Amino acid sequence: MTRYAILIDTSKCIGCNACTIACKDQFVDNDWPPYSSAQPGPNGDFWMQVMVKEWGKAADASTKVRYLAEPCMQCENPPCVAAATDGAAYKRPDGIVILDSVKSKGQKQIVDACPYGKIFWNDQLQIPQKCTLCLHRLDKGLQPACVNACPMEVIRVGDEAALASAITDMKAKVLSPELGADPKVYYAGLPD
Amino acid sequence: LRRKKKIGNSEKMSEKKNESIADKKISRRSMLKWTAGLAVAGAVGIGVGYEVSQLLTPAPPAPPTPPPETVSTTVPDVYWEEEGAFPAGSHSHGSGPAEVNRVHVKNGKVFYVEPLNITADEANSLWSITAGGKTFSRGAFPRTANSAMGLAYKSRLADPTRVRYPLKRVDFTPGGASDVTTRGKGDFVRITWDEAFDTVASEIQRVKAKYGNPALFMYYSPHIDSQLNNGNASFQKMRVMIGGITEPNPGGFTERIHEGWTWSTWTLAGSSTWGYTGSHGLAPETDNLPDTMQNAKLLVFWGTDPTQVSLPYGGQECARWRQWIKELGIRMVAINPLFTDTAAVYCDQWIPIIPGTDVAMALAIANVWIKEGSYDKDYVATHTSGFDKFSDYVLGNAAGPDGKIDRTPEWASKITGIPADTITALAREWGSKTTSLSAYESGSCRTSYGHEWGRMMVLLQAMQGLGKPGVNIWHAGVKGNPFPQGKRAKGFANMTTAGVTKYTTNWQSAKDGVPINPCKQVLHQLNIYDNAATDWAKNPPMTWMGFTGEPYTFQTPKEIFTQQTYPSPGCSEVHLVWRNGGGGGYGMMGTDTTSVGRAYQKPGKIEFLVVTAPRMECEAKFADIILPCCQIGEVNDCGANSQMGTMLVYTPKLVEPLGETLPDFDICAGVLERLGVKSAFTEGNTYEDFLKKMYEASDCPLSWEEFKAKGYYIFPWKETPLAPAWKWYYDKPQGEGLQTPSGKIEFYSGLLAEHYGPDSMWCTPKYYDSPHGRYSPAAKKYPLQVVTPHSRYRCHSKNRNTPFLQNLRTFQGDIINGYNAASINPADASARGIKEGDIVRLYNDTGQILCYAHLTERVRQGVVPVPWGSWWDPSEPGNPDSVDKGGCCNVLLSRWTDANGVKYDVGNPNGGPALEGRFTNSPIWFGNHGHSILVEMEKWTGA
Repeated sequence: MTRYAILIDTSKCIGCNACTIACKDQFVDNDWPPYSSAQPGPNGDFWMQVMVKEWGKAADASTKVRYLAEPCMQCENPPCVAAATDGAAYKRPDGIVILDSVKSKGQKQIVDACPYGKIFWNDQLQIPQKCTLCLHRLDKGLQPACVNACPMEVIRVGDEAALASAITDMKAKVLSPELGADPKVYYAGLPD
Repeated sequence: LRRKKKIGNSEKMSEKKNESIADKKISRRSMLKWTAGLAVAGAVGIGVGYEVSQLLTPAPPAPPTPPPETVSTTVPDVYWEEEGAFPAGSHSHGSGPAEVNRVHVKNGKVFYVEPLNITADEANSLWSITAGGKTFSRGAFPRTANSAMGLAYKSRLADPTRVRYPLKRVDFTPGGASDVTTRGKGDFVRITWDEAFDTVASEIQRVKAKYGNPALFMYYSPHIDSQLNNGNASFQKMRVMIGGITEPNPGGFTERIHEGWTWSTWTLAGSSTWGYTGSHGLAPETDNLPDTMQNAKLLVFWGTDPTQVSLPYGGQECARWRQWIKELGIRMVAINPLFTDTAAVYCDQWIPIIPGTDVAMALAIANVWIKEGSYDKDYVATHTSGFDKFSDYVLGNAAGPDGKIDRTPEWASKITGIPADTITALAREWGSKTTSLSAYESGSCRTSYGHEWGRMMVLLQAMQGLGKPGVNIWHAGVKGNPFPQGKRAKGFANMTTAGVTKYTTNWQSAKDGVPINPCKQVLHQLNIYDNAATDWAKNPPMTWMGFTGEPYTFQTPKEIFTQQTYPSPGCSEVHLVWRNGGGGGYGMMGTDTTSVGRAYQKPGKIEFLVVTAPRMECEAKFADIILPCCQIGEVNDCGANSQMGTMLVYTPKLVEPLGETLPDFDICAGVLERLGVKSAFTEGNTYEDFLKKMYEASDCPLSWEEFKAKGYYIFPWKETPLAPAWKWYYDKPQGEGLQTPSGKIEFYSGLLAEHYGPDSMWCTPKYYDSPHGRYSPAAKKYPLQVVTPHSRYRCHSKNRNTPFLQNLRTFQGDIINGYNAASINPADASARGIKEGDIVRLYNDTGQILCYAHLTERVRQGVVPVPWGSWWDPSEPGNPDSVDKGGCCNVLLSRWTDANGVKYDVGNPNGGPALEGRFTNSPIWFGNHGHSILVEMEKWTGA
């Protein structure tokens, strides 16, 4: 049984947001039931979002930058699942966390529960929404839209066991491990 | 300066519109659609008072498809059903699609978009480079490397600012007597295509009859969407018909000089050093990618950011090249006031130079090399001329007080803000390692005296033996990869160069039997608005130096000294302007954008302004008549793309054109039909005929039908010996064959000596303080230097309001909450009490704009990048005191001579009386100086 993990090599990421746009393109106006309803509109919601980390100072030319493409972290202990009632958020056996478009109606606390800020409130449908790892595409044997669109091959999605040695070799880390959510998105190439 | 709230007026306008709709007896359904379209037009209309964010609020989506009755564990197939998936060009820059997607279509709409994935056989046929014992193959990544801009295709078609119907300015009536003072302020009413065509044709005839052909001025942005391969092919050809090619005594029309706005300082730099005239004076860069990968040990990005600037030429393709260069361990250094994405991801060192001081650093590098002997003395002796005079200036052995300065790294340090040790270390590394130089498409050439920087780039590499393996100058992106040899897409640039018509795109290079444009009057791109905005054009007539015509058509370096006068003897001023593209690319490009409004509003000048516009942007808002043009994907088209090699792409009509929009071919034909010259335009062909003929002029082995069915063809690569651009020159024992007076690379320019005199200061490149730079007296009042980089999410002004491309918070080019981002160093921000996300006012004596403040250590102190291309949205167009909420950086960009004709004290470099004429870049060059702007910035508290 596949248990999905995501490995993102920040040393190659040029911050171009091709992943962000491919994600919007896939979900705005398009329903993919039972995994997701259409993303409401172009602004505000970033199921995939490129964040910028800066270090150093321009004054001594020590500035350093890394871009972090941030989808849903597909946590092993997902706070959103804990916050949801009626099974509106659930973790599948393959590790992908899904928000049920019907059961989650009105459950705004699911948005607030995510410590990574990766769940967005759809005001029109009154439901929380997020990245599904393009489960509708994985089912068809296709790569997630962000992976397919990345011009630099930064994002890898696969079975955690298959990615394990790369994760170790590249010293990839998860974001905010202290939160205890045990996220399954690993970032390589970050400074210590 | 308060922005006036005029929501009430706008509501009244809507009522008025509804009345006129009712009059026209349009069905309720189309009326609703139409009202929506006009609301959008009103929303971007100046002074109406809508917030941009309101404008971008999406229409309520269709109700979501109800979940299927039976709960499914996977997505039911019905959600995947589609009409098809087609290769399609995404957007164009100059000619042909810049990026190619595969577009999925469902229910007559774009379903989703992805990069074009190719077959294994096709991937195996692509080019590769062997370097450092490894093979780097393009085919290892078997799809197009597209950018966010390319992938936002679905959203761009749905841009709410698109114009849906032909529109007429409310206050306009044909005949030359309309009130032009309300241009840009009023609203529009919908008209029929018949009325639009009739009006344009009758105004052309009226102006032609009254003032003569020179009063006609028809120009274009090279960046509207591809149709017939090149967004301007139809328009350019149409101009010839309007100019009177079919009449016994054709009068022509006033030609636009494209030069000046782009990399034009390279035109002077290139002409005076290596004698290249084409392509803005840039020399070819053939095979410079393999040359660099195989031979270079250091790659210097001087003012360049190809990770960004290459986007409109092929998406993110060349970012992959730099990843290879990084993998080969070639050291990379960025000299740039900004910590660009190229610097951030690839460079080992950032040298955050003060904008406009690059020449000082270059001179110091030469100083180190001369003193330490670390340059190629043999090459300099055989392949260059005039080194002694250059060397005297660099070492302080020249005549005059200016000639006595030893231009050491210590001297340069005080100017550039870079420690002397850093400059010395770079000079020593560059002098000892094989070094490739990325200097094309550099911001450094868009500063005051930018041509002196271009000259220094050529001369530094000449000191290191330009043409020696690994010693080259290029973009380090866009071009220089191995291309299929002998299998170019011959003549596929556009319908005119494809040889399918006897008319060329401009008359300067017309073919046999077609007379050249008989009108010798030209208008400089940067002067278009000045002339109409002020009386300066009349008293005295405006004069300037520069060649006639397009940048790609001048033949000898001497042509850059052609004296131009406007109005030319015997010629009328321009009274009719037809703008193709409506700022679709270079919206409001002119320096001091406010003068654009004044120009269009000045009585007695431009009597008729017609704009072919896909979107309600910039000039379109001032137009008397707007002709809405459809987009790529709404009409069949084909073009060449260079993302993976050489690829021909057929872009079918994927969706219906929005509203009543028409292809620009049909727009041109519609007007020409009324002028009775349509048949000369079509030459008996339909649009489809032209597409087919263009295709058949290429070397593609597929039949037209096969090509259309497959959608693309990639020419296989055949490996041939590499021939890096300057090898031929390096291989000549005595360096010869260039178009310079000596035939060699010139440190002392024979061209400039001939024109300005042998002792002129211009003969060797020198450092000068900019009147708009850090050391100008004006900097006391306006201490921040604005630079205007390209945006990451726009092709110039195109995509400014594409919904998907909003609020992407990275760097250099974000529209955040409707505002253009101004990035500022936290130290500068804190001194002004500015915090992240504040709306700030940037102002100087030329204008004022509002931006969103973004605090970052990616800019050196004292520098504020304001990405170029954001749409001008002033509170009162034409009023110099207006605040521009659009954040259009050119509002802040002053001339050397201000709008009232007051000249900056630039003196005369030759020691004579002060120079007459208008300059923008320097006293000897009319060109872009968009990175030389001084401002102050404050938190905006206005309403």
